[in-house]
Amino acid sequence: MTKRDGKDIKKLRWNKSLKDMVKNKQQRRNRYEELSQVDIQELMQKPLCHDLDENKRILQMLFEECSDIVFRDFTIEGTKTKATLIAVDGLVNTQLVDGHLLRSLLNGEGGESNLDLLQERTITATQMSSVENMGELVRQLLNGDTILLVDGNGKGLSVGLRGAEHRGVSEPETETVVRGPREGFTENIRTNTSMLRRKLKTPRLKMKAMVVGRETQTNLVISYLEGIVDPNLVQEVVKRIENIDIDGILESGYIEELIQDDTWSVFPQIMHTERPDTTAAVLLEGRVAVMVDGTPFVLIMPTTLWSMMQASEDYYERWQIGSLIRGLRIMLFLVGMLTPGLYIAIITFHQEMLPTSLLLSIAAARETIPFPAVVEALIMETAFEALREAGIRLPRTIGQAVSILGALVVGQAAVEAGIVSAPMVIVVSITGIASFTVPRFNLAISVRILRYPLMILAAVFGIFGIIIGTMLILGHLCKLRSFGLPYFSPVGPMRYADWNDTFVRMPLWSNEERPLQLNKENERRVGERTSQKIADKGGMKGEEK
Amino acid sequence: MKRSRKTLLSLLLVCSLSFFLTGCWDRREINDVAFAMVTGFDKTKDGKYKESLVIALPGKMAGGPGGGGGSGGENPFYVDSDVGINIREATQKMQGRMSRILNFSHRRVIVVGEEWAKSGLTPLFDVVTRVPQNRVTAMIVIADGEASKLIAGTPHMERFSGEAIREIVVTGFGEQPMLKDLAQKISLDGIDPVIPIFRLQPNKGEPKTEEIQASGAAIIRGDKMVEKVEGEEVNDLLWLSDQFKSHASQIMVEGKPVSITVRTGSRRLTVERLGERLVYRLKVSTEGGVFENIAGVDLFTPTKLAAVEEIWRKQLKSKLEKAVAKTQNLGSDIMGAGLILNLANPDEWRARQKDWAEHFSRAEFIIDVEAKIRRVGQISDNVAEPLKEKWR
Repeated sequence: MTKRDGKDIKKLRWNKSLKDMVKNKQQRRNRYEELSQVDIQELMQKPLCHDLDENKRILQMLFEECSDIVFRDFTIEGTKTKATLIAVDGLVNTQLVDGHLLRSLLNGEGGESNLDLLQERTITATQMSSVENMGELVRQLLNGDTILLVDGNGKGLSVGLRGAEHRGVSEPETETVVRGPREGFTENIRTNTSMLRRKLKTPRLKMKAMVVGRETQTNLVISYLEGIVDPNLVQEVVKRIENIDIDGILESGYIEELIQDDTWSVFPQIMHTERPDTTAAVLLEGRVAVMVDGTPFVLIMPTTLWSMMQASEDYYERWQIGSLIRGLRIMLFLVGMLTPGLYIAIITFHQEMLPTSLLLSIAAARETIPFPAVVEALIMETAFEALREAGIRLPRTIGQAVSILGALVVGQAAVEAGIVSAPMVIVVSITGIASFTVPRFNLAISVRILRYPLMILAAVFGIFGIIIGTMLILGHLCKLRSFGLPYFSPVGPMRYADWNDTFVRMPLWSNEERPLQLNKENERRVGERTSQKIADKGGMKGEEK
Repeated sequence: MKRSRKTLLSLLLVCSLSFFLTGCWDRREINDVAFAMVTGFDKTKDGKYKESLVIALPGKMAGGPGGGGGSGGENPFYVDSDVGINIREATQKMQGRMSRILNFSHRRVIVVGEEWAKSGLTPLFDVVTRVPQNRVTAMIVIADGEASKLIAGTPHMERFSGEAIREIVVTGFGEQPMLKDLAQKISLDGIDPVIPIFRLQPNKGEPKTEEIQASGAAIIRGDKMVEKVEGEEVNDLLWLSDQFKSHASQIMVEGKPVSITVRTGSRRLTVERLGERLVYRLKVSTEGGVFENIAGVDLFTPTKLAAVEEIWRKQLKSKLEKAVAKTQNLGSDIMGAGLILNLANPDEWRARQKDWAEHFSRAEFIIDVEAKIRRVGQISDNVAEPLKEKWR
C-alpha cells in the first residue's frame, strides 16, 4: 500500500473513528488504508476485550479482504457461550482442528465457558498458550496457530495445530558430498531446528527465538551451544539482529547483509550452509548459527577466510586426502583470482619470463588475433560469466543447450575464427574451474569480482600492478573482522595452534582444542584418553600380549 | 565508512593519474616484438663488425591459426645480418627494416665467428651484457668459420639452429659454456675456458639440409682462441677442465678392439711441490663398462679382465699426458692449475701471476690414473657363438 503523495495523513484514534468507518464502504476503505499505515501498531497493543463480538469486529476489520482467514462461529455445547475459531486456511491442519478442537467443544464433553478450564480439561492438543492482546493474537494466527476466542474471557487461546504445505527434507543441492549425510535444511524453521536437535542431543543446545521484519514477521532462531560459545558473541549477535528495522526478511541473505561488519567488502563475512552436519560442527567449534524461517540457508558467524575453504567432507574422509584437497583448494583459489591477470601481464610486459618454446607457441597462436591481450581476456571472461549466468537462470532443459552452444561458440569457433587465441581459452577455462573448487559459493563470487580489477591492473602496470593489487587485497583481508574475529586468522594474527586445521586437516585426535580461541574455558575437544592412546601407538592397537 | 570511501576514491584518483603518463608505459604486445633466438658475431676483414640474427616467425609456426602446421617447407625463422662500425650500429640498421621491436630476452645462444674468437673475446662481453634483456645463462659457442653461416643452418630436429646447438651442448659437453661462467673464466687469471666449436654439415641423406655439427672444442688462452681440437682429444681436454662427460673409448687387446663406455670420471689436481719448477699431481679415477666386444676377447677370467683394465689405464694415461702437454705448449691453463696454486699458496701464486703462462708451460704434471671396469656384460661370450668345450 502506498502513501498518497503530499497528503499529510492524520493520525486516527481507533475508538473515535470506528463508527465513521462503517458508514460508507469507499470511505471506510480509504480510512482503512490510512489505518494500516498509521495505527496498526497502536491497534496491536490493544488487549482483547471480554466481548467476543467486539474482538471479532476488530479482527474482521484487520483482515478485511483476506480471503484466507477463516472465522468459524459456534456455541460451546452444554453452555450458551459463543465462541469463534480463527485460522489461516492452508497453515493449519484442518483434520486436526476438526478432531481436537471442534469435536471436543461441540460434543459437549466439557461444557465450559472458561478458557483456562477448557485448556486444562477439554482440548486435546499439545501446544497451547493463551493470548492476551491483539498483536500477540495476530502474530500467532499468522504463524499458523488456530485461535479460539470464547465470549466473556478477555483473552484467547492459541492452539498449535499447524499443517502448512512445505518441501520435504532433501539432499542439499549447493553442498553435495560423496560421503556424509544426505539431508539438507528446508524452508521450514521447525524442521530445521529439529534436524539440528537430532544432531546435538544436549540441553546445552540453545535455540533463542527472535522475530524480525515489520511486515514479514520472520522467525529467527539463534542457536549455540551454551558453555562452548563465548557468551559475548551471542550477545553481540542478538544485539545486531535487534538493531534491524526493515519491512521484510525474505532470505537469510537480508540478515547477513544487515549485520555483517563491513558492508563495502567483497568478501563474505558470514558463512551460510544448507547442511545440518556442518551447522552442528560449527556450533561445536563455538560459533553461532542463525536460522531464518523460509530459507534452507543457515548463517554461521563468526567466519574466517580459511574456514570458508573447508568442506564437511574433509572431516569424513581420510585426513590425508582432506589435507591434500585443502591445499589444492587454496592453490586454486589463488589461480582463480590471479591467472588471467598474470597471463596478461606476462604477455604484454614480461615476455622474458616464459620458457622460449612456450612463448613461441603463444606468439604463434596470437599472431592473427586482432585484440590486445587484455581486451581478449575481458571478452572471454565476460562470455564465460554470461554462460554461467545463463546456465543458472534458465530452465534445466534449456540450460544444457546453452552449455553446448557456449562450449562450441566460445571455445572452438572463436579460436578458429581468430577472434581469441587458444591459450586464452585455456586460461579462462582454468580460471573458471578453479573458482568452482572454492567450496563456498559466496567466496567464489568474491574471487570472480576481484579477477577483473586485477586484470586491469595487470594490463596497465604488469606484474607490478598485480603485486599492488594483491597487497591491497591482503591488507583488506587483514583488516576485516567478522564479529570481532580477525577474518584472516589464524594466519592474519598468527596462531600456530590452529594451523593443524587450516592448510591441512590433521587427524581428528590431534585437533585437541577448539579453533581460533572462540572459547577459552572449554577448549578441549578430544579427551586426553583418546588422543594419548592413539598418539602413543600410532593408532588404536589392541593390547600386546 | 565515509573514510574508507574517501580512501578508495583517492586511490582510484592516484591510479588514474598514471594514464596520463603514456610515455612511460612500456606495454608491448607479444606480437609487436621480434624475438632474436640466436645471434652471430663476426669480424669483417676491414675491421668492422657483423651481426647476424635468427628471428622467430611465430606466424609460420605450427599451432597458429592458418599457420604452418602440415605445410612444412617454410622455415619458422629468417636470418638477417648487417655490418657496422660496432654491433649497436648493425642492430640499428636491422631494426630499421623490421616492423617489430627487436627483443633479445630469448636469445639463448650466441655464436662467435672464428676470426673474432682468435682476436679476443673480451669486447663481446661488453656487447651482450649491456643489453638488459640478455640472459646471463645464454650459451656462447664458436663457429668453425663464419658465425653468420652457422646460424643459418636448418637442423631437422629443432626449429632453430640455436636450439640445436643448445641441445647438442647439453648432451655432449659436461658443462654449458654460459655467459656468466665464461666471463668469469676469462677475467680470472689462472684458469682458461674450453668452448665448443660448431660447423655446418650438409646432410648426406634426405632431405638435403644443413645440419649443425659439433666439430670440436676451442682452447682459449686469455680471451683468444689458440687451437681447435677435434675428435677424441676433445673428451680428454674436457676431462682435464673438470667437465667430464660420459663417452666411448676404444682400446686394443691383443690386437682386438674392445669398446669401453667411460661412465664416470673424476679429476683432482693438487700442487705436489713448489720450487723453480712447479710439480702438480693429477689424480684421475674412472669407471667404465664394456659396450662392444666383437672380437670376443675373454673378459670372464678375472686375471684377463685385470689385464684389459691395465691396457685401458695405460692408454688413458698416455692420452691425458698428451693432452696436458698440448695445453702446456699452448700456454692455456684449462685445468685451472693457477687457481689451485692460488688456493694452496697465495704468496707463490702472486709471485708467478704475471708470467703465469710461462710457469704453467714449464710445470711438471704427474698423472695417476685409476681405471676400473665395472660391467663386462651379463654374457661374456657372444650368444650366437657355438658352445665351447668347457661348458659341455
